[in-house]
Amino acid sequence: MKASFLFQVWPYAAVALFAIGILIRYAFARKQADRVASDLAESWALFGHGRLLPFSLLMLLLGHLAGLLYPTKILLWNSVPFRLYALEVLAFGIGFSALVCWTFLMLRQLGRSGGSALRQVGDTVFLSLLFVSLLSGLLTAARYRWGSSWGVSTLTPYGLSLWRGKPAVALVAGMPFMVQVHVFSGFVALAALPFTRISSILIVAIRIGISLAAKPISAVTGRARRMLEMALRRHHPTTWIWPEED
Amino acid sequence: MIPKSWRSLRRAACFAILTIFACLTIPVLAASDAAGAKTIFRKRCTACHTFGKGVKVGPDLKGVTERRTRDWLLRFIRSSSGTIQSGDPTATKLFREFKQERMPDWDDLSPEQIASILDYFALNGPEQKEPDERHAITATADELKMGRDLFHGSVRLTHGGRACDTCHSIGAGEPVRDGSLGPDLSSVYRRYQDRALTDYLKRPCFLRDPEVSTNHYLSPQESFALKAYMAQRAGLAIAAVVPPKETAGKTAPSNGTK
Repeated sequence: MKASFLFQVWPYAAVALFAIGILIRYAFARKQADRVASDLAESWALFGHGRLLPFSLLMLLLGHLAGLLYPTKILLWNSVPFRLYALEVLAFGIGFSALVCWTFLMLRQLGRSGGSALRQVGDTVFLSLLFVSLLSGLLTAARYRWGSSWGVSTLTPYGLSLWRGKPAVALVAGMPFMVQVHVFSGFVALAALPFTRISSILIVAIRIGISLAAKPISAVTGRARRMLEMALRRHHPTTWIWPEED
Repeated sequence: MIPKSWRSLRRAACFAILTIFACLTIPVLAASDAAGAKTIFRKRCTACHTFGKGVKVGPDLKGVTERRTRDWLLRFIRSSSGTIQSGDPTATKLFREFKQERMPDWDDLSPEQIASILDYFALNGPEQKEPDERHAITATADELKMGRDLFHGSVRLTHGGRACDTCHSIGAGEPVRDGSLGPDLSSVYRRYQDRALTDYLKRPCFLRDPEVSTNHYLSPQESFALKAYMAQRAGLAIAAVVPPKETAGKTAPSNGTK
């Protein structure tokens, strides 16, 4: 496949698939609250076996976000060799623990049954894709040293170019195969996420977020409505027309 | 009405701004003149002339500003045919001497452009090499040290690029910080040799930031220092010449690197 599709078109397609998929699932979830609850319970049963996996996944996500948002600070940190080694070893350790936990999660998933076939396929595909992404990330870190340094010179500008809507494909197309697999599999996993039971966590999070955001808005609108009603009552034209009746 | 003192103050401020502007722009313009003259020389002259390497189609241009007057050169460059037809003895002699080959009339060049070319010739410009075009063997101890520092990131590159060791290693005995994304560069000098490596260092080996967004890479001095360091790592016997002014009162280092 051409690099222009893999790294220019596909990232946007993946984000679009993710957004549309989540929106559709959110729309359905409003009608089928019990289904979301059962999905959530199953996701919890699958993920809730320990804290290490969510913690390591969260740390990996934050690490990647830091690379995108604070590249100069990372380079400054890496300018001292000891700090560079510490960061690389820590990141590799977190990645390794995430991979081990994910492998156990996949084995647990293989031993499970129940739910619709579509959801099961969705779960399996997503688990496999994220496994590929974690494995390729670890292999990249092992094979190509100091990814935290060269990554901010190549992959960060690529990520930012995607954000700006002008993808600089050459930045990632010139990278070794393993790096390309890591980037591409990450986007594929993102596109597959809405078709899994795990996405019910996101649906619930969105619902909570919307209700939290709606609270102050509804408070303000309710107050405004009450004030308007009072003003209308006070300045109602009938009081001028028939004052004696008031 | 604006008070007189304000007017004079404003005038003084304008004058100061103009002076600062002129001070800042003159060196830039001078540099662009030299660059322009170099480009014109390469594009229009080198097909038929050499500079210090003998006759080609036309005469060798080395020393031309001493052999002829500036006025004559200006006239001849802009209209060689007109000068010959006017019966100018020098032009006619040259015409006969060089098998009646007429030089094109470069009438599209302004007198200022021709003046800049003549200045370029007077300063032996075509014989001046860019710092990075020097052979690695002529590197000084300081340049070798600079190359090592730049390679391993002890000294930052002028345009903010990443140090070479972010992606490359350069053989054993160097800091273990060397990266492994790109190939080992300990024998790159032997593979490319001096000229090709100079050309290779003119652009980044792959696209990356900040080069991709700023369009700047290495300065010629940095390029030369890195080339010299790579040459040394490849086993080229560099005498590491110490510049004469540095030798006075100092012990010359035997080599630029450890």
